[in-house]
Parts: sequence; C-alpha cells; structure tokens
Amino acid sequence: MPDLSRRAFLAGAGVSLALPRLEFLQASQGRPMRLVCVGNPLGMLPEAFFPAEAGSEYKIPPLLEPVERHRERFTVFSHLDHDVSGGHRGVHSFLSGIKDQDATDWPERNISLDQRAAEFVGSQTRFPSLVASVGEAQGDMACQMSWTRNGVNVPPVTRASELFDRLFVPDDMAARRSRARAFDVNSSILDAVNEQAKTFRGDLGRLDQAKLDEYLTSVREVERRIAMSADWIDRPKPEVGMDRPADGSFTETLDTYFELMALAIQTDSTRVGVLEIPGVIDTQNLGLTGGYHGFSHHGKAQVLQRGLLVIERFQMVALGRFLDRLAGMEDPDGASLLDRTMVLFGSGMGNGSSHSNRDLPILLAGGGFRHGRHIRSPADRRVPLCNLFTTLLQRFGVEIDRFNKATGTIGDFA
Amino acid sequence: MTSLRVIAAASALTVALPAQHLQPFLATYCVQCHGSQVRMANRSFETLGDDLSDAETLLGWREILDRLNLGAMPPEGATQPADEERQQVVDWMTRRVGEAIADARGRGSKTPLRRLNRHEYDRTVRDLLFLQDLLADPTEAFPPDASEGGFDNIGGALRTSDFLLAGYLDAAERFIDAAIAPPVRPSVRRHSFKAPFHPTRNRHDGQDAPGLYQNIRKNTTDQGGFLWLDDFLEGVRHSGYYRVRFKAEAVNRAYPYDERIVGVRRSEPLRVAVVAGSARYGELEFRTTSDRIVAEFDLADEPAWYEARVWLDAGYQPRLTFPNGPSGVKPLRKRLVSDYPETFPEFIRGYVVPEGPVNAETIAESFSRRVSKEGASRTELTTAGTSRAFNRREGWATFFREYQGPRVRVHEIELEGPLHDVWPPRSHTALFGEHRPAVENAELILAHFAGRAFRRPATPAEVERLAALVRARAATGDSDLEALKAGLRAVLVSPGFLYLHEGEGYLEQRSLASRLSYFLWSSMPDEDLLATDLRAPGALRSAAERLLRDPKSEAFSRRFTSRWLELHKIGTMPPSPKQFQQYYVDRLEGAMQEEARLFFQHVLERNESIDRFLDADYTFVNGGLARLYGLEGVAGADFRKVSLVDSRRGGLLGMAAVLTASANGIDTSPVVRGVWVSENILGVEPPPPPPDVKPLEPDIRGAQTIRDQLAKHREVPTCNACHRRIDPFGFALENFDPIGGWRDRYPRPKGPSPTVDASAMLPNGESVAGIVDLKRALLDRHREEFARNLTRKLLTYATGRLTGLEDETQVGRIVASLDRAGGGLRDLVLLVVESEAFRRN
Repeated sequence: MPDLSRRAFLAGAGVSLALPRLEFLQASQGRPMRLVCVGNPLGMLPEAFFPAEAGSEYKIPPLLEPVERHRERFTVFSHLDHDVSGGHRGVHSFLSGIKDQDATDWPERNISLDQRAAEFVGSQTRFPSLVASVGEAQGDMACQMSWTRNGVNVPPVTRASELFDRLFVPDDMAARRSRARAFDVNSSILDAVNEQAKTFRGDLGRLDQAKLDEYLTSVREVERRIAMSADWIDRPKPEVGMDRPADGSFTETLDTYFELMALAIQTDSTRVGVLEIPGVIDTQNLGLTGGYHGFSHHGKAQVLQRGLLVIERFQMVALGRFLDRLAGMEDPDGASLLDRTMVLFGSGMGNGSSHSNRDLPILLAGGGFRHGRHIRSPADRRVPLCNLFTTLLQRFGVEIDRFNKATGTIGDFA
Repeated sequence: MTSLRVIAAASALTVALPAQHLQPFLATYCVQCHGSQVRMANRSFETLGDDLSDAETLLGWREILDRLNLGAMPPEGATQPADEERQQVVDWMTRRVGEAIADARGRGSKTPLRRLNRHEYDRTVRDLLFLQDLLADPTEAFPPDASEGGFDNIGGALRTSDFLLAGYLDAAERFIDAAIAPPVRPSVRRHSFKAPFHPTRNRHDGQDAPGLYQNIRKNTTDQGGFLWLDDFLEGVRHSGYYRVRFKAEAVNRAYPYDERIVGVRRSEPLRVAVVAGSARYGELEFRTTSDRIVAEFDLADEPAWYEARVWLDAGYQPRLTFPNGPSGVKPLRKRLVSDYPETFPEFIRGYVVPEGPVNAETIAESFSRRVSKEGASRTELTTAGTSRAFNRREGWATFFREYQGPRVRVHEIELEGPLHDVWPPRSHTALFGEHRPAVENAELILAHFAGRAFRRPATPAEVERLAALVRARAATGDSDLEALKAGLRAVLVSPGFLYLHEGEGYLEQRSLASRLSYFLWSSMPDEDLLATDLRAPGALRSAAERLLRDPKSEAFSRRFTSRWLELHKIGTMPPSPKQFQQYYVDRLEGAMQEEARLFFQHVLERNESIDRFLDADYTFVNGGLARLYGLEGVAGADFRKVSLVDSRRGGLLGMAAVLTASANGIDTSPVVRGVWVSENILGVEPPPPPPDVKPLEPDIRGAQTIRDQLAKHREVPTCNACHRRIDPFGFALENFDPIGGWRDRYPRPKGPSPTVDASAMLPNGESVAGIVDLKRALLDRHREEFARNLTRKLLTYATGRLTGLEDETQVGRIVASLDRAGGGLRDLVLLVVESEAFRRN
C-alpha cells in the first residue's frame, strides 16, 4: 500500500498553489501581514451578535462576551453582505461575494479573499494557504469557503492529525527521497499526457476544446505545484512543542485546529489560513439534544434559540482563545502576532432561521487596524462586504482597488 | 447579483426594444428617471438591447425584472403600472430571461467532451482491472463533482481542476498497485480466533466468558461497538477473497426495558455486520474511514455458525458489529438507571448516589450535576448530564454487569484465504495480458491496456508516446515493473480515458457503445458491445435490452433515481435524533432510498406504466419502513413487495425518500416541496425568487402554521404570481413530516399543536384536500406533463447534457410512441435510446 502521507500531500487537499504574479516580486520589505478567515455555514443569531449601538460605546452583546477582553483589538461590522440569495446555496460565497454558478460573469471568477492573498504569498512559505475544516461536512452543511481563480473549490483538510503531519512532522531521508521520486514520476507522466492531449486537441470542436483546455490548465497547475513543493522537500519543517493531536469530534478538536493555525502562522509555514466550521457537529457534547442545523431553524422558539446560542458561544469562546494565543505570540521584531494577523470571523449566512444571506455577521480582529468599534453601514444604501475585503487585501500588501464586487474600501478604520 | 459596472456598459447598446411589450412600458414608467436625460443610479434603459445572448444585456433585463418583481420600482410617488400590466410584463420578461439563461448555459443538442464523474471513474477502473470488490476507495480525495439540472454527469458542468488531476495521478497508482499480483501465488492460510477477541481492560463487565464467548453491547454510532481481532492488527497479508465464519447468538432479545429507551425492536432479529477495516487508518476499536460493511446477517437466538465469502484488501481484518444495537449509551444509561433503579443497585450505590436516599430525584440530580468550568479540560462544557465518577471505566463495567439489554454474543471466528480461482488473478492479466512485465514488452502491454481503457484502439502514436515514457523511466534507473507502472498510470490519466468524446453528428459505433453503457451501467462498454454494429436496424434496442438484463444495470436504477428524485440530498441534513429516533433505530436513511430504487427497478423490469410513479397500490418495504408507514406484519431488514390498502402511500409522493429529500430534517416547507413536485414531476422549473425579497422568518412559537406565515407572503401580487403555482403541491403534502411519517398535527415545543391543513387549490383551479386528491389530480390531468418530464430527465441522464427547446419535438415524439406502446418504463428507456437525440451529438 502506498505511503499515506505522500498520497495525501499529492492529492493536495487544502493546499493551493498560487500563480506567481507581479506582486510576488514586489513582496513587502517589512514584516509580512497574515490572514486567517474563520466561518460557519449557519450564521450567528443576529440579536445576540450585533451590538445595539454603533460606535465605540456599544454594550457588549452575549455572543461577543467571550472575546470582550480583546475589545480594543476587534471591530464588529453590521449591514455588510454580498447581495446574494439562495440560503444554504449562497453560503459558499462568504469570502468571494460571488456564487459559484455566477462565477463566469466575473473577471476573476469567484476567487475568494484567502486565495487572492495566497497568490500574493506564492511559494515564500511552505504552504501558500492552509484550508481546513473541523471535521468533514457534506452538501449544504459544508462552508466551501475557499475558491481559486479557476473557480475551483479548495478542498479542506478535515483531520487535525493530518494538518499537524503536513505542518510539522519531518520526513526521514527515505520518505523525502520517495517523495522526490514521486514528483519526478508524476512530472514524466504529466509530460506524456500533455503531449497526448495536445495532439487530441487538434481534432476537436470549439466546445470540446474549451473542455480540454481545462484539462491542460490543470496539468500545468499540477506541474507548477510539484515544482513549488519540490523546492520545500529538503528544507526542514519547523519544530513545535506540540504533540501529534488525536482526531476527534468537533467540540473536542476545535481548539486543536485553532492551535495548529496559530502555530502555522507563528512558524511562517503559511500566511493565509481558512478554518471552516461544519454544520453538523457533536452537539451532545455541549449538553444539547438536537442538531446544529435544527437549532438554527429556531423559528423564534426560545428553547431552540438557547441551544443555538450554546453552539455559537462555543465557537466564540474558541475564537477568544485563538486571539489570546496570537496576542501572546511575538513576531521576531517583538510585535504581537495578533497585530500582524487579520482574523476574520463570520458566515455567508446572515440569519439561519430565515435562510437570509443578508446582513452577514462580521468580526475582524487584529491586523493593526483602528479597532474598538461597531461599524454600522447604512441599511438602505448597501455597502458591499467586498469593500472590507479590499481593505484587508491592501493591508496584506496586494495592490488592488476593487476586489470582486467591491465599489471601494472601508477606509475610516484602516 | 447585478453590478453597476455591468449595467453601465450595457447602455452602449442601441438595439431597438420589442415594441409590443417592453418599449411602451419602459417609456411610460422608467425612462424619465433612467434615460439619456436623467440617468439615475447610472442606468439608462432607452438604449437597452434586446439580444439576450449578450451577457450584459441579459444582466440589465434581470435587474429590471428583479425590481419589478419586488415592487421596488417604479418608486413610491411615481406613476405605477396596474397590477395586471406589471404582471404581464413580468411574465413575459421572466420567460425570455429564462430561455436566455438556459441557452447561455450551453443547453443545446451537443454534449461537449464529457469527463467521467467520480462514480463513473471508480466503476470504470474497477471493471477495467477486475477489482470490483476492492475495499479501499482510491477516489476518496477527489473534489465533489458539479451537477446541473440535478444530474452530476453533465459534460458542460463537469470541470477538471488541478486538485482533481492530482487525485487522478494518485488514484491510478493505488489502483494499479492493487491490481499487480505478488510474484508467487500466496498459499491459503487459516486463522482461528477464540474469545476474548480483544481486551476489555477494566471495562470488563463479567458477562464475557474468556475461552467461550465475548459480547457486543451496542452499535457503532458513538465510540466503540466493534468486536475486533486484537491478535490480528496487521490484517490479511494478501488481497483476495476470504471465507469468514463466525459462531454467534442473540442474547436478551426480549429485554425487560421500554423499547423507546433502548431503541432496539423486540420484534426484529438482532443483526451482525462484518465490517472490514484497516489499522492503518486508526484504532480498530473505533470507526475508521477505511470501514466497509462486507456482509450482514440476522442472528438466531441460539448459537449458530454464519459464513460469507468476502474480499479483503491486504492489511484489512474483518470486525463484527451489532448494527441494530442500542446507540447513545450515555443517555441510555441515564434513562435506564432513572426508570429501573431497582435493577442497578451496585451501579447506583457505587457511582450515582454514594450515600443518602436513592430515589428518582436523587438519581436525576446526580446525573444532571455538571462538571464545573474549571474541571472541564478541553471544552467549555464537557458532556453535560453525566458527572465524572460514573464515566470511569469501572462505572461502565458496573452498569453493564447489571444491564439486561440485548447483546450479540460471539463465540468463535475463522478466516481462510486468499481463495484464488485463477493465477495470476484477472486484475494482473488486465494490465499485462500474457506478457512478462518487461520494458521490451512495453508496446504490446500498453497497446492492449490503452485500447481497453480508451474504449477504442490506441493509435500507434499514442502507444509510442507511452512506451517512450516507460523507456525513459527505465533509463533513470527504475525497475522494469516500476517503469511500466508509470506508463500504465499515464493511460489512466490520459484524456482518452477520462473523457467521453462523442464528436459531432451521428455517433460513430464506439461512441454510441460508450454512451449506451454509461447510460445503463455507469461504466465502460464490454467487448460484446464494442463489437456490435449498433447502427444496424434494431441493434441498439437489443443491445440496450441486454444491458438492462445485466446486474450492472443496477447502477442505472440507483443513480438515475437518486438524481432525478434528489435522493442524494438525504443524509446531508440529518434529522434530529430526539425528534426522529425512529429514523436511526430503524436505519431508515438507507432503507428509504432502497425502497425508491427497488420500486423503480420493478417498474422497469416489469415494464409497468410510468403512471405507477404517480400512484401505485404496492411498494417495497422492510420492517423499519413498514413501521413508518403503519403497515402490519413486516419484520426484518430484508425488503419485500407489499400491497397497499391505504391510498395515502403508493407512488413517489408517498415515499419516505421523496418526502425526506424535499424537507430539511427539521421541518417541512410547502414552498420547497412544491418546487420539488414542480421540477421533478411536472417538469416546470420555477424562476428563482428575486433578490432582496424579505425572507420569511419562521415562527413556531404559537398557533401559527407555515400556511399562516406563507399567506402574508402571498398577499404580494408579484410573489403570488409564482407561489400560487408552487405552494399548493407542497400544501397537499403537509401531512408528511420531514422523514415521511404521517402527522395530523404540527409538533410544538410547548402549547397546543396546530392541526395540519393539507388542502390546496392547484394552479388550474382544482381543489384538493391532501395527498390522495393530489395523486388523483396528477393522474387525471398531468400525466402528459409527467411523461414529458420523465422523458427529458432520461434524455438528460443518457446524453450528459440538459435538454433544450429544440429537443421538445423529439420529446413529444417519444411520448406519443410511448402512449401507443402502453406507457411502460422499459419501453420509454428503449425509446430514449433509439431517439435521434441519443444517437447524435
């Protein structure tokens, strides 16, 4: 049986590769900025998430209590969204603003915030981005947050142990050699099929050619991925003071995933992380009877809303610990890692009970912004969430005026 | 959805508007503000074009339509069109926009180069390599396939990405490694295992008898529940077929507790499943991603031997489980100890109420004692409802010592194999033929393998390129076998293998053979089919009949039913275990899908009328489904055909699978079910709701029902225009709960439960009182629409493209012939196969 870790690596789940772009060459001279996006597919109970008051004097709502100690290092946004509909079917547009099926209408398809940032990083880090899901999820219960420029969903890593192995478990000489050989064999196979496909292409009609071009693009992308990964084979992985984590249920491993993200950022293994919270979790471990999705359909019944709050609060508590962790880590120049990491928390669902994709819950922490406020956009004059994303990308170092649906930036806090 | 950027660009177009409809309307109500003089919101409609194949024009239309739909434009204070006038324009624009979108999505009479989807790929490689029973799933890392029109085999929608291609490279290696035989034929080995099969450590409850037997106490839904072979963690040494025998008995089937607490039916035999798993994927005590059920048995209440011949991959071992055993042992224990305290004296004294009075209150209080926040290590709330003491292993052991619930008692296990009929195995010969795996044979080997994989002979240039790869690998120092493997893998990563290339015009013989076999088998054509001249008169029909007779056509009834009826959605939003315990106890998730498939297969095999999908006086059930449907006298996991006296069931709309797929596991929505009926029975795709509609916020606190809440929605004329054509079908199904059980009242967390009102007025004005009337109405007045719809769905699945307006003539022709032939489903499938649309591209 072939080596499991190599297989997983080649399958490339969760690891995307970036196109080397002009920006790549202009990489910032100073310390790099990082970006971590965390999302769930069912939203946050609006009454408990959004403060009643705008500005800095707001009263902390129940769902922000678990992060209140970081109040001066985050901003809550309300009335931001992507102007999409579709309920569960709109959730995957959270980080792009664009639904998969509308992707071809847009110049950069439905590329997501994280992948746009990952392109900027390129192979400067071992992983241009890390996309993980706290356990597997299917269909509408999966966040599907991360999308490449080719309109392809980046499949997340769904086991903490696998994430750990990729990040921190060094390969011995034999494994490295076998991986190098596998790269080599795969490259020769790709050369051969590429030739095959090109010959084939000449005999095809226009529609067929477009399909075959997808194939040829994929061949080139895999070749590029092999080349970039090959650079890293012989560079040692960082050592961290963490044991290989056991895999477990959502409630057992959410903190582990956050810790792995923090360590991945700290060790500069990646500068872009995505963490997806699935819509099916072990609610019984939170003392609840009933599913996460079921609670989100609370229909205003208090007993169900309370259950939903337990689940959402659990997420915020873990987020709070993640912010603690980043705040306590230092960049080599002594700055707090939280000030160098933009942590975006939110959902493509605004209100799970009504299946609305409007007024998304958005919290941004870190990244050195002027935080501490609840920024409420006008309810009647829509401000695209992509405006905020543009601001984030600019802070990340990307030269960009408008990301996807943006009409500008959200400048007054940058 | 629509951006300012795009609309602004649209204004550059100057094509005149169709005078009869939109022009006067826009001129009257819109252009004052959105014209060349005043361009409010930067929009001018004076010059908006009519050519909807232009994406920007289309976006402009969509935006106007959205605003009209909402009643958001013209704004308050401006001259308003009459409702009727607005509606007329909305209807007309909706139709035009719908058609344009359909066209833009590549509907049309041609299927582009069609990639095998994950399922077809998997089946094809297994057929190609004779590895049908391989346990490992080398495609597990493939990204999910896109679907369109509900089907996941649409050429235009199936994308190829770098993630997928990397998956192909890897899967090809795993499949080929699995196919290559070891150099020497492995001898048959025999293993015998006696209890204890694995350690129970201090969880031992004293009811196991080392040397004699060991018990399985629960199913595998939460941790544990496996009986594994601890002396055999390395698994079998060689892949192949093995004879698994075990001696077991059902114990305590007539247990003394409430059935609802234990969740095991006394009327059903206890079952044992043989689950193969590999220790490489995790501890065998727990579930692993490698687990595959390879056999399942009903157990007698006295010891007996059971035997199965199963395939095991190298490294896998057979484990035994108790699939219909109790699940959720923590709540189980809590309920049992509270309700039957006299039967758990030791457990209660030792772990629950160590001192003081023992009564319902003290037990309940002890169980609900929460672990303090400080005490919880990894999660804010650890398992609530249980304190730590009784979660210790000794606590569990004590509980189980006193527990009188059902158990599966296993005495002995034997394993023998690998049992090879031929050597080398067929998988090996599939790769190398009769040739020695040497580089000098590369051309012969690759020509043979590529020819089968490509479903056509490989060209000399193709073979030469592959052979060159093999020689190049050998030149870098690879062994002959390794070098050949690279060539074989390249075949499985080639476009010639991965894509169905159907060309243009009438399909040539081989393309037609592939189209037919992917339609009916979801896999590659066999040699017979490739060798048949399918263009000879009657040949296509008889080939299709042969394929349908073959067991491989199970893929058709399974895949097509699943996609047509959206059954693949079942399980993605699991119902609440509290509200729908039955769903889990009776394992309804699989059972309901099996019912739908068996029903379809039956109608197909017997060539019964497609009307049976609208109503039938029989269906297929096992014990669990029979309970859901309230049918008497059916027990056990096996399915059988039953006659239905109750006309509320029968036909697709009475099937749990359909009713579950059209709900969300939590509640039902007449809109969602109405859309389901509209799309899958009547073949009408309702337009999506315009954006910005204020979403319906369900409120289940009071006596309001979903009907009351929708009523408000339907007061808005533009909403009602569509909803009056959608919702009635859903209202008529309201007596079915989210898993397809019957209900007369809606459940409410507290307070009185409102009565279900399933009456509705269908779009044609006919009133129905519920499901029975609805089925009659469909049969009386919508048979033609249903037949056309089913024809379109079959054509879509068969050709891998969505049908369009230009296919309607053919659809009509097929339906007319079907009527003459008697309306049988098999006739319909054959008519589809013989149709022009199937035979050409």
